[in-house]
Parts: sequence; structure tokens; C-alpha cells
Amino acid sequence: MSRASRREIIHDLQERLRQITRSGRPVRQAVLPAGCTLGRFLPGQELTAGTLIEWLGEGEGSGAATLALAVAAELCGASGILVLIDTNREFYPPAAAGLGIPLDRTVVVQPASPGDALWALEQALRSAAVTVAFGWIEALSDRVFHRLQLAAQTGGTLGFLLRPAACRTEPSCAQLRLLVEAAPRPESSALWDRIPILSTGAAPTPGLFGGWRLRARVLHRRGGPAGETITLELNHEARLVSLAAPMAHSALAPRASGAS
Amino acid sequence: MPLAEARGLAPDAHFAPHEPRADREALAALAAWCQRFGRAVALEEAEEPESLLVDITGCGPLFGGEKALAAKVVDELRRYGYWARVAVADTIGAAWGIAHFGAGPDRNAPPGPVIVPPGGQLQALRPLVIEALRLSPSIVQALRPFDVRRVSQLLALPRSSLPSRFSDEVVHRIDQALGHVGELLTPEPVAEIVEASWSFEAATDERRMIEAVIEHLLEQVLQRLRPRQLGIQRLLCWLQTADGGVVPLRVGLLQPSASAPHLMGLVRLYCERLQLKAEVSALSVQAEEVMPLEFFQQQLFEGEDDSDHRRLFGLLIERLSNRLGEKAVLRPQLMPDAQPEYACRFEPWLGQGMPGGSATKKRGKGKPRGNARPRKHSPSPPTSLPTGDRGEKEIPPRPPCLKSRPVAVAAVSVAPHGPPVRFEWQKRCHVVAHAWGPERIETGWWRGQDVQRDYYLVESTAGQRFWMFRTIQEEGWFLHGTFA
Repeated sequence: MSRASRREIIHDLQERLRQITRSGRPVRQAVLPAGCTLGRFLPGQELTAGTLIEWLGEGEGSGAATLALAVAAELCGASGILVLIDTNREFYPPAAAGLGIPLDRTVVVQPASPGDALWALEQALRSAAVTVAFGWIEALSDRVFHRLQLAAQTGGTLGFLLRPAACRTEPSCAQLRLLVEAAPRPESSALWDRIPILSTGAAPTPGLFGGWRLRARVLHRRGGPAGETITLELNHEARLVSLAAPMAHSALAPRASGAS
Repeated sequence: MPLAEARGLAPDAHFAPHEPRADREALAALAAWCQRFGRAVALEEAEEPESLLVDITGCGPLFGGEKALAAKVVDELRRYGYWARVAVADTIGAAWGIAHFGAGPDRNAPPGPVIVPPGGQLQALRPLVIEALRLSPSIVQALRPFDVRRVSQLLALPRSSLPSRFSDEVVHRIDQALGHVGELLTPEPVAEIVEASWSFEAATDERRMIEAVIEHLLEQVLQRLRPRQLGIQRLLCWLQTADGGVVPLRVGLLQPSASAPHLMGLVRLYCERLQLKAEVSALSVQAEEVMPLEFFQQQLFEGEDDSDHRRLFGLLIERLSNRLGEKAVLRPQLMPDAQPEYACRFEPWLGQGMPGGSATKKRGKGKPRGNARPRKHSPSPPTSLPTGDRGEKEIPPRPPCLKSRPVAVAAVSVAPHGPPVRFEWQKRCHVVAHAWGPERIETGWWRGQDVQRDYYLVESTAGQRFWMFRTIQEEGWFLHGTFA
């Protein structure tokens, strides 16, 4: 037996010993599914177990909840469980089903007060059975934020906090804080596109989501730079596709023809 | 008769599909409830039983006579919405026959209870039709050409010729009805209520003491359930207050549990939102619903343990439901309804079962014991969006946030039946850059308030998306949802 493989075996056995003797439940390592949109926001970083992500949206119709639900659908996949704290009682499940959320593995909690909402969110984050805990939270004190962060670390759950854009100036305990805005369509040169009356006449087709562009700006990223903006588009299957940034102007001088 | 004919005869009647299994379960639940009236209760032996047989030997004096007992049964069943015909006789056959076919003078009203005096079953059975003897339809058919319709006529026939001409069954049933031959009753298992109680010497409102006593009583209840490997699915605690009131405390679980610390944790969660108006003088703890326990082998190494996952999920649901209320922890279910407000329904998770499997609970070798009430058995609706029926077009996307009621907005449209061009929402003026529609939804006439709406998905110049509609009759604009 070579020395390298013996070392490997010893290391493996030590790891197993550590697992058996560790007090309490071993923390589940969250692993991002391949090609997941969230990976775009954390280049070169692994999504560690127990992470909170804040999604800030300006007003209604901004697309923050839609984007967060689409990302949650990617993470839940075939077997994950989603717990959603519906404080405003406005959550509409058929829309979530259209985005790919499995409704038979979704728990919708309708708390009576903001205090109950935070308690329920903490319980969901603490549970190792939950993949994503999703909640609309307005006011969040530092103390409560820390508690939620600790709960997420204990349970190895991803927490998605949907908050109003006014919270952008408050300090954050989350790993990532994103400001989501709907991107207006690019200006078209065609005259008829500028006239704001557009009716297809026929009933809407499933391609409705196709072409809805959302911009997510990284306001805060733990262990990385902020300020990056990523444009995403919901395609005709209501799946997220990220758009490449427009090509920067080339700094090189064009090559003269005939140069040797 | 066919359903269409029945609907024509009684247009106001309620028609429901026939579900024999659900009927049987409901009857078994009623049997468990009837055990307070007699020594043993059994379901009649038939493919689809409709009657209960209660042995009330010696129980009459406890209720003030057999007539009073029978009247009490009828009254109490009426409170649950059941019309019952009760007959008391010496034999099962006689009681069955009189209850089914012994009509009173007024055929429309259900007859009152009939008490046959001891030894009087022959007199009571004579005027009844032969079906009252529980003869099979083929024998009744065979007797018809002989114009034998009444029991008196059947008894008049020579007894020795009956077995050879018709069947042994005729003689057997006659003997059973008259009491010449014994008949066995297979009683339903006794619904044993496992409970323990405690009275305080002096009434108290100290929470810690109350919780300590509940824990002690819970341990006693669990000790009685442990040998049968049963766990508690629903726990009921009664707190009797000094002013004569009773405060119930109901704790529900997703999976049956026999763990005292886990159950006490849920009781404490419930107690946190309990308001006690008076001091507690006595309390009792009862296992309202018990189910067989499920056992899992614990894994030594960390791995993809599905059973551990399920157990943790069950614990989370129990904690959330018992602190926030069962109606606050819900599972969404899609409904095949065109009107957006009714396209989805929420059901409490407690009572639904684990995710990813069937919607009904697994019932090992036990049935729910205790005071079970008859339950409705409905098929689980689909959990994916309905497609296919509308041909190639699928249902268009819906907004993730739907207002509980559509909100009237001031909107301007250029074309008379076209999309909006501009509208006001939350004190801002939005100019519509793009609109898709109309999607016409006309439905709900059976609910009394039918809706006729043309829905549009609009995108403003800022890129924000909203879901709006115009009512066809009143031409008013409403905002129903936002793509938040």
C-alpha cells in the first residue's frame, strides 16, 4: 500500500470518527446545483451551509419576488422543501407552480403578527429538513438578524428575505444583498414600437414571461466586491437565463491590413 | 333509477357519488359512539352494511327503560344529522326486520322506536313483508309466483317442504328471527379511551405546576400505550377551572409519537398562547387519537437518510402548527377553476401526511380509536397546472402576488375594448409600454356572482409588470395582481 493512499485512508477514517463523535446533528452542507443562477452572484465561492440572501425590491411589480421564487425553484429541484412565510397573505400558488415550485412540498405559513412571522422563519431556518425558507420581512433589528443567521447555520437552510428597497442603508448579516429592478425594454428604432399601444389581439401565449428582463445589483457580498449588476431574463418556460454584459469597446487599435 | 330521472323528480335534492368504503368507515365510527348504550355493538353482516346491532341486555334500567333508551338513541343521532329507525326485540332477526320494514301509520315521518315485548317477535313479524327476514333477493323472486309476500303466508307453508323447494336459508332465517336458533354478533372493538386525571387540593393558576402535572399524567397515558406500540397522534387536555368552565388544549401531530419530551414541548408551545381566566381545579389528559408507531433504524454515518428527513419535517410542522394554529400552516392545492380567486385552495398540513407520497395517512394495523367522528373522503386535486384541455395553449403565467380583492384603478385606454394606456397605482402614474391580452374569463355563474373579465398583463415604461382586468359590463378597470 503506497504512503499516499494510506494517508488518504487514515484521513477518511478520521473524518468518519469525527462524524460519529460530533455532538449534535452534523450540519448539512448545501451544495449548489450545477448551472444554478445563484452561482453567478458568488463566483469562485461556495454557497456555505446556512446562508441568508436578501432580495430588495422597489415597489410592487419590480420582480424581486418573482426572481427569488425562480431561484428557489432551481434550488428545491426534485426533492427539496420550501417553507414560505406569507405575512401579507398575497402569495398566489399557481404563479409559483408556473415558475417550477413543487406545491406538494411547499409549506405556506400565514402568521397573525410580525413577531409570529419572525418566529416561524427562525424555526424553518433551524430545521434541517427545509431547503429554502422564504419570507417577506420589513423591519429587522440587528439582534433578530443575528438570530436568523445562527438558525440558518444550525439547520443548513438557505434563507431568502424579501425586503423593501428602503432597507438598503441598513447593516446586513446576510451573505448577499441584491437589489432587483425590472429593466425596461431596449429602445427600438422602429416607429411602431415606440407607440405604447400594443395588443397582440389573440389570447396570451405561454411566451408571456419570455422577454421579461430583471436587473439584480449586488449591494453587499460577504467576502467579495459589491456593485456588480447582472441582467437576467425569464424565458418562455419561465426559467432564468442570464444575459451576457454587452461587449466592452476594444482598446486595441485595429490591425492595419497588409501588416506583416 | 338513473341519476337524470332522480334529478328530474327532486331538483332540490343533493346528489353525491356512492363511496362504500367511506360509508363503512362512517358506520364504524357511529358504532364506536353507540358503545355507550349497550354491551356490544356490531355492524350487520352484509356487503354494504347499513344497520347497527346493539346488545342491550340488562341495560334498559340504566336509561329508565328500553323505550327511554331507544328514544335517547334517536334523539342523539338526530343531533349528528342522522335519521334512525330503532327497534328493540329478543332476536337480531326480529329487530332488523321491524326496524327496516315495520312502518308506522304515517309513511313520510320516520317511525318512533318500536319495542317488541319479550316473546312477542312472532306476532310482530307476521304482518311484515318477507324481505324483513333478511332473505336473499333470489329467494324472494322465487316465492313471488306463489304469491307469498307476507311472513304470515310464508309461515303457513309446510315447514318440511321449504328446504327442498326453495333453500335451507329460508328455514334458517325463520329460526333466527323467532329465536329457535342462536345468532352470533361480532362486536366492533371497544373504543378504549386512554386518559388520566388529577384534581388539585387547592385551585391554582401557576403555569409551572400545571405543566408539571400534565407531564406526569402524560407519562401515565404513554405507559399504557407503550406495550401496544401505539403513539399519540392527537392529545387532548381538559383544564377544569374553579368557576365551572372547561378549557380544552388540543395538540396535533403529523406523525404519531410516544416521546414524552417531544409531546411536552408541543404542549408548552400551545400553553404560551393560552389565556387562563380562572384558577385550575382539575385536569385530565386523554389520547384522543392513537396510531401505530413507525420505527426507523438510525444510521451511524451521515448519509442521504430519507427517514430522518421526514421525521425532521414532521417535527417542524408540529411545532409551527401548535404554536401558530393548525389553520396557519397550510399546503397549497390547485383547483380546476377558471376564476383566479378560486384556482387555489389551502389545506392545513396536519392531517395531510408526508410530502411526496399519497395524501392519506398510512393506517398500519390499527384504526383510529377514541371518539372518532365520521370523516369526509375526498380525492386529492392535481398539484400541477391544468393543461391539455385548452388545446395547444397552456394557461398563461400568473402574478406571484394576488390581491385578496381586485382594486379599482383609474385607467385610460385608447381603443374601446383595448388594453390600458395609462393607469394610476399607489399615487404614481404608470404609462403602459406593452400589454398582452385580452384573456377573457367568464365563469362563476353557479356561485351567484358571475364574473366577466378581460385580463391584461401590462408592462410599464419602467419595466414593472402588473395584472389588470376590465369588467365587461361596467367597463371599470381593476388591478388584481403584481409581479412583485
